[in-house]
Amino acid sequence: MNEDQVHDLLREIREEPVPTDSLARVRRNVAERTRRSVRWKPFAWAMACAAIAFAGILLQSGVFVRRAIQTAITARPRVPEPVLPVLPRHEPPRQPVMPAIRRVRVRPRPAPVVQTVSIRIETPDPDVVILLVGE
Amino acid sequence: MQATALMFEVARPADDAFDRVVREREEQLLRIACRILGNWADAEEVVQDAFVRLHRHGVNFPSEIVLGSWLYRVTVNLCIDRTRRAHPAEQLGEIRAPDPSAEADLLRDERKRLLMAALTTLPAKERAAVVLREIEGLATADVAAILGSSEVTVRTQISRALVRLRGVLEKGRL
Repeated sequence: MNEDQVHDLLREIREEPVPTDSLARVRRNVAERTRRSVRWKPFAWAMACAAIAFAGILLQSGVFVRRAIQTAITARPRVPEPVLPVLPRHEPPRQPVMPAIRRVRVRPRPAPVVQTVSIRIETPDPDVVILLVGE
Repeated sequence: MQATALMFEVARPADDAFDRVVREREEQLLRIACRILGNWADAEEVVQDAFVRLHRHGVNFPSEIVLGSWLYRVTVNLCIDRTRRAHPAEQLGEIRAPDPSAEADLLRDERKRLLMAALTTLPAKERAAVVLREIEGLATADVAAILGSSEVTVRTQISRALVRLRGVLEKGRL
């Protein structure tokens, strides 16, 4: 079978009629489904319009604002605080006294101070001084 | 109630236009859907879905060509979705070639049936390309626009599909 024959067959398929009952079923079902969706649409629109109009009227009349202020004023009535009875205090059980542990800090011993002895001998000459240093 | 009545009045011309589109296009869409899906029952459901979508979308298209293209695209996409979910091999089974002793008409009918069955074994997009281009006779550019691919891709898909179909018809079995 060559390509032309395949094309001929495809063309013949194109010319085959569509069954009339299929067409009728499609038309009927489409009409039913679209009618169902159309039925609620106008009501939804009407309801939406009415809701918007009602909200507008309420806003203009200031009902919301007045009600909010009233609610704020009346929200917290002043009530005297209730006197709570004084309950006896339960002291926690005493812990036995334990001797404190003394920490002994070991201080570093200071380095032994080396004492030095110095003898200063002045001579008649003011520029000459004899200094004797000994440990 | 007045508002409701007014809405119905406004909706009526649009419904008339919609009914006209359904009457004009249903046959072609059914044919396309059936060629892609391989049976009339599924094709009916797909075409109904396409028309319901059109109703939701509204029939306000700039031209008849745009409307037609939109409807083709929706229908073909619905068909492709459906073929991906279905298992054509299970539905079809094995279709054998006709008896060689049968008459020429019968042979031709059998070949057509075989060709249709072979079509359903092609990948969904190849099948849609063949149906739109070779059976419905749309231009390659239109087919490419409907399938969302390039013209070159469509040509390649069609030639590949035709080779496969020819092979099936020569063998005489699926």
